[in-house]
Amino acid sequence: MKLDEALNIPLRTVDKEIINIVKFDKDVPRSSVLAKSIVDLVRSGGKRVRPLMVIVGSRFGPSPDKSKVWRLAAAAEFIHAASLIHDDIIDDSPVRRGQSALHVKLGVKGALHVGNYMSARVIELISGYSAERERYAYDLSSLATTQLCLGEYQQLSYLYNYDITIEQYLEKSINKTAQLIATCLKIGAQSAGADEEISDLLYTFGQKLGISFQIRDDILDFTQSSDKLGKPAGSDLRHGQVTLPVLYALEDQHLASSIRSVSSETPIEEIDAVIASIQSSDALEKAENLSQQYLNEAQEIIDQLQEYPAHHDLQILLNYFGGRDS
Amino acid sequence: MNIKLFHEAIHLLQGELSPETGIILDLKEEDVLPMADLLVRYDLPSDRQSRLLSIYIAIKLALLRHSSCEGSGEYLTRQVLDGDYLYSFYVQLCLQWEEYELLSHLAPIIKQIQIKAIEGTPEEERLLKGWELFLQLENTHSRASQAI
Repeated sequence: MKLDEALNIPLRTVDKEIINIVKFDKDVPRSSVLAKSIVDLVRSGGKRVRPLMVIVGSRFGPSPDKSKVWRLAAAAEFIHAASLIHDDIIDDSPVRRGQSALHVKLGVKGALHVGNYMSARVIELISGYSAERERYAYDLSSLATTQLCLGEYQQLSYLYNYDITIEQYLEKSINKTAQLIATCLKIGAQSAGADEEISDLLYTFGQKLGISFQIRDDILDFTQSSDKLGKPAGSDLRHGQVTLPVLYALEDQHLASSIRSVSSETPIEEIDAVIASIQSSDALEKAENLSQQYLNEAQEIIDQLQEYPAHHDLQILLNYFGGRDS
Repeated sequence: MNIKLFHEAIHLLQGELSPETGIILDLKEEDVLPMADLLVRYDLPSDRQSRLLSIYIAIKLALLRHSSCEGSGEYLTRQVLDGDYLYSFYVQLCLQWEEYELLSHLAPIIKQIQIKAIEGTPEEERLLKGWELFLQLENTHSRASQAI
């Protein structure tokens, strides 16, 4: 079963709400390149994990204001989509969800401005709750992407840096991935009037899930076939990214020197050999264990929230992120 | 006077930015002085003048970084990231310094600047005009409150 179906959240309604953000912007003509680009991007698909998490979060509060929750859910996806447009420019990725990436269609500057429009539109919408200043200040600061950018800066500064610590890797993963996921659950809960203690627990749950997910993603880069990945195995290391499996492999004295020799100048055959040695080491298992540890900690939070019927939804999310479900 | 304000705002903003970004506030005086000139025309406390100019500089530099996005590799990456960070950071500064009205006023203007850029008719001068309108409105409200 798909995640949205398991959570009983109609994805079509989510998508409609996302499209409404641009459709009801009086400054954007409906036939404009901007409107068309965003509608095409939304219609090209996506799992909508972030909006789903906002809605799940709202199920922990006593008084969910449906229109506000859905608006926040759509805003979270808008922020995420804007970051993907800019990521594609940075990574020079030509394809997004089976279509040409936006910078291929509109050029780098055009795509940058579309992403900027999406972020600015969210700020405009949320700052429109002027009657609830404390509420909007919290939502805005939560959805602000400074931490996400910091994660990108960290990734950039850690390229081919084999001396980074596991703590630095985890901090980067929190900034890049886990923070927005955690925030979605928390702002959903707060918008429905949940106690601070509950919304904080949901934030911690989301953060643990996000870190676990990032670690699994980094493992998959080594374990999945190049056909399935759409890129060669070990692609992260080929691009200088020192992920958790690499950090664990560096603890093995026999592997460390060959890994440390990898740079942007290293011939492909040599990198292939290094990647094969990491694949056959125990580094992937160690990384899997740490990912599982975060899932176990997330499970403990679910156990603390048993009195809320929506704890079943957290279990669905955990199974999904833990790869125990499709 | 305005040069002093310019340097104070740069110093303030540099202190607020995360060192991890490595962002250098390399604006020219001509990019900022029109806003500094505008601010000193209003009766604002000096620390607020510096704060407002810092917010303006963050947005202006975001615009400049993204307008010079060309080529590829690390240069392009840094230009994109710096712009993204600064567009997000100005929001945080507004919230941190409780400039809620300013944030609500600027959000649609920054959005419209992006729309115009996509349409191929950039209108970055909207930013300064938007600030001018904000300061005028705030001044009018302040006088009206005092009169009452």
